[in-house]
Amino acid sequence: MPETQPTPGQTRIAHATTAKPKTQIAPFLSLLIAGLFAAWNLSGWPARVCYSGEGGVMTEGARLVEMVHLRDGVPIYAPGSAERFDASILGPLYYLLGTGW
Amino acid sequence: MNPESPSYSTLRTVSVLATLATSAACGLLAFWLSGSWLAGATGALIWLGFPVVGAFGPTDRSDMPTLALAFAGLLVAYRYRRSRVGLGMAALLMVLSFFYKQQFVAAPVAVLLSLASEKKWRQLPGLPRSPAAAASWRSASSSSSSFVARTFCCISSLTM
Repeated sequence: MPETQPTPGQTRIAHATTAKPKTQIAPFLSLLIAGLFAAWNLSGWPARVCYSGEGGVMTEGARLVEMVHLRDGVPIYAPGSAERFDASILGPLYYLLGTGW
Repeated sequence: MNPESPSYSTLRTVSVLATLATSAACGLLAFWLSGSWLAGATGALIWLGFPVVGAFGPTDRSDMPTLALAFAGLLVAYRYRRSRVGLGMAALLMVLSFFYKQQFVAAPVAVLLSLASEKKWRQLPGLPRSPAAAASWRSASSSSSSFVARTFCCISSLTM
């Protein structure tokens, strides 16, 4: 009985079943690097959230003043005048949330 | 807020929670697209690793909550794009985002163009159902503009 030649598909299946599974290092390395940068970023957050003064990223104080004005009943979206002016460039949801509705 | 001693802590906490929610949303989108939990975790951590996210996260700035709302709307629209209720929820989230800060318009534009490219203009909430509107949407969803819309959707979801 003549020996039959394997078809290309059979050859691929044989290779797939005999090949050793490769360890995927790159995805875990990517996860590790991203995790290191994230941990570096997050490490300073508790102190920055609890800091009572204005943070290093500008305009925190201006927003807080506008919220205090809103809490006091000042129309912060009204046009500016010689007596008072609020920039109020953000949406109302921001100020309402900041003042506790 | 106590008017006698106003504090930054409320809005800083909101911003931190929004940053973490956006990180989870990044991971969820990566998981949906790849089917890999590893890709999802990496996507979430990559978001938290950006320096600008680290700088803006624990402040009372409006950027992170606005982005979280817009991104949530984009995810809802992506997941439930065949449902009018789902698209309505996505629109609601995007409107809330707009009322927080009037800046992050990439997500609404991306959803609009994506629906137009797939000829699903009838599912868009609040649009007029006139024949003229239908004709304009059909003309906007030719094959070339469909490619542009899909590309814009992908780019905007990655760069928001």
